[in-house]
Parts: sequence; C-alpha cells; structure tokens
Amino acid sequence: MAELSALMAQVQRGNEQAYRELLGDVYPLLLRYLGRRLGGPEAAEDVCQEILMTVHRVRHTFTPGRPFEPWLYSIARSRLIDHYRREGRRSIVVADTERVEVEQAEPPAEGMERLAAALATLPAIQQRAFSLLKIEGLDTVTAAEREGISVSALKVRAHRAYRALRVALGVEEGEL
Amino acid sequence: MSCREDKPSVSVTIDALAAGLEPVRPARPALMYLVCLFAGAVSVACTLSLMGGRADLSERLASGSFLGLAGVLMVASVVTPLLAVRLGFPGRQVNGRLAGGLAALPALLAVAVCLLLPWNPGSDPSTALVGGLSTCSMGIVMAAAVPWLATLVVLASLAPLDAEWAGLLAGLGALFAGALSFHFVCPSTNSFHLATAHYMPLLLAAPAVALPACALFRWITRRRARP
Repeated sequence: MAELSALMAQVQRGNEQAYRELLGDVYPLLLRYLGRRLGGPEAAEDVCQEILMTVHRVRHTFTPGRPFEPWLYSIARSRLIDHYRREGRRSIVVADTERVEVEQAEPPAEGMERLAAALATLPAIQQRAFSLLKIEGLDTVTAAEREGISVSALKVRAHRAYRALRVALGVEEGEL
Repeated sequence: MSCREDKPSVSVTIDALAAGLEPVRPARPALMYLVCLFAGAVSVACTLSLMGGRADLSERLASGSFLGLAGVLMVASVVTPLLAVRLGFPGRQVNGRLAGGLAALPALLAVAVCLLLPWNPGSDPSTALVGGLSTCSMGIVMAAAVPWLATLVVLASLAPLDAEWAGLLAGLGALFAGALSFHFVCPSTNSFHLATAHYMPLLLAAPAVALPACALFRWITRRRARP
C-alpha cells in the first residue's frame, strides 16, 4: 500500500501515467470491497464510479507520505453509506408512486433504509466499528488496525453499536 | 431506460479522469487550521476593539475564576477548529470523547459558574434574562459569524465526509471564540447572567448552525461523486 501512497503523490503532481496505474490498482480493490456489500456487480460498479469521481475531486486532501488505504476506504465507506441511504429512499418513492406495499415490494431495501437511519444516529466511532465489521466484513484484528485502536476497544465500540441498533430496530439479540 | 444505461463504463471513466488530470497542491492541515484560528483571533480582537474591554479588566485578571474560565474558553476555541479541520481530511479521525466533551462544554461551564460565582438574578429575573439574551447572546453569535464562515469555507474546500460532526465542531469552535470575546467585554460577574446569556445559548446555537453546515457538506460530497 506504500506503493499506492507514492503513486498518489505523483498523481497530485499531475502524472497521468501514475493516475492510470493507481486507478487500475484501486478499481479491483474497490470492486471486491463493494461486491461483498452490495447486491450485484452492477450496483458495485455504479458506486465504484462514484468513489473514483470523489477520489478525483478530493485528491488534494491526501497528504503525501501518509497511508493511502485509510484515505481511500474512508471515501468508499462514505459513498457506500450514501448509496444505502439513496436505495432506502428509492424504495419509498416506488411505494408511493406505484402504490405498492413497501414490505412486499422491496423488503431488503426497506430494512436497509431503517438500518441506515438507525446507524446515522450512532456516534461516528460506533458507526465506523459497525461498518468495518458488518458492512466491510473485516475481522476484528484488521478492523482495529485500520482504526488505529486495540482489538478490545474496537469490540467495545461494536458491542455498543449492536446494542443501540437492536434497541432502535426493535430486534432481539442474535438477529443483528 | 434504466439509470445504468446513461452511465459510462468504468474504463471510460478512468480514461476521462486520467485525461483531465491536473496537478493539485496537497491541502496542508496546519495551514487550514491556522486560517480557522486566525479568523477566531480576528473576531476576538475586533469585538474587543469595537465594544471595548470591561472597565474592571485589570482587576479581574487577578481573579482565579475569571482566568480559569478564560483559559477553558481559549483552549476550547483552539482545540475545536483543530478537530473540525481534521475531519476535512478523509481517513483521519477525531477522539469521540474529546468531541463529545466539547459539545457538552457550554453546559459544564454553566454549572461551573453557578458553583463558583454569586447567583444574583436581581429583583426581576425575567428582565435580566431577556436583557442578557438580547445583548450578550446575540453579541456572541455575531462575533462567531466570521470564524464560522471561515471554518465553513476551509472545510468546504476539503472533504468532510462526517458531515454531522464537522458541522457541529465548526459551529462550536466559532461560538467558543465569540464567548471568549464576551468574557472580556461583559462586566457581569453574576452566575445567573453568565449561565443564561453566555453559555447555555451555545447549546442551542451550536446545533442550529450545525444543520446548514451539515447540509452544505453533504451536498458538496454528493456533487463530487457525480460524473
């Protein structure tokens, strides 16, 4: 990943070849990251494009010499959450315009909307712990490394997030 | 026609992005922070020069409680923009406890002055309250305008992905600077006045200014994701 950081520094200097190389390296990483969390490759590709656009437009916020991965995945996570929010809203619009029952028409999207809404009420550190473990599917050691905290601290944050989400969604322990 | 059919393929997007690449100057966190800090300092200096320091300032500077409150407000108005600017750089985090502590600080200060200073609302507390709200509270909010706008501009030029916290901290930092100015301007040593007109209104003003900031940051982030 230090290689990506060096490439990004060159991108900031306007090196087009480095940019193609960087995006070529990053694209499969993002597709793998998104593919596990979204329904199909089409949705993953759409969100991936949004991430690439954002990366392009905020490339000045990358600090040369710092790790590239947290910067990239922070953008990816933000776009992914935005996608969940959008999908949730879309299911409601469909229900309103076509007069269909949301529960029957798109239960996963409705559930996703409720989850996104409940997730948005949590403190940022709990949101990140939840999305690293449950949305990105990382193991606790990797997630803790990415957050720069101990595994036990990450587990505490995740536990608090699960508890708050269970209360907000009205589900029992084991369902979340 | 589905929405997808309108979107270019990823390879086309990559080609377009690479072809349109221009060099950028990496944003420097320290510089961004200094801009926010400078705006806060200018606001404090302007408020003091326009309204004048309290008449008993030299006498009050010998008071431990006065200096303690000034110190807390100064630290808060220095640390809060630092956290806000940090949130403008993707991948950097802020300490949740510290940010939460800063958000709760106005309430803590209100409690602290009630414990430290004499409680003297006068014969008509409602008149004292309204007078305090209209002068000191409004003054604090107005003094906070410049540092708030400066922090918004700085953050909007960055990428505050955590829009809620970034919006709240941007507003809080500016309001702390405003409260610091009025700490040296307002002659009152009455805990009733300080709690109701200097500190508690920050609890209402901070979320009120956080909402438009949060909406702005979200709008900017969404717009940047579009082709």
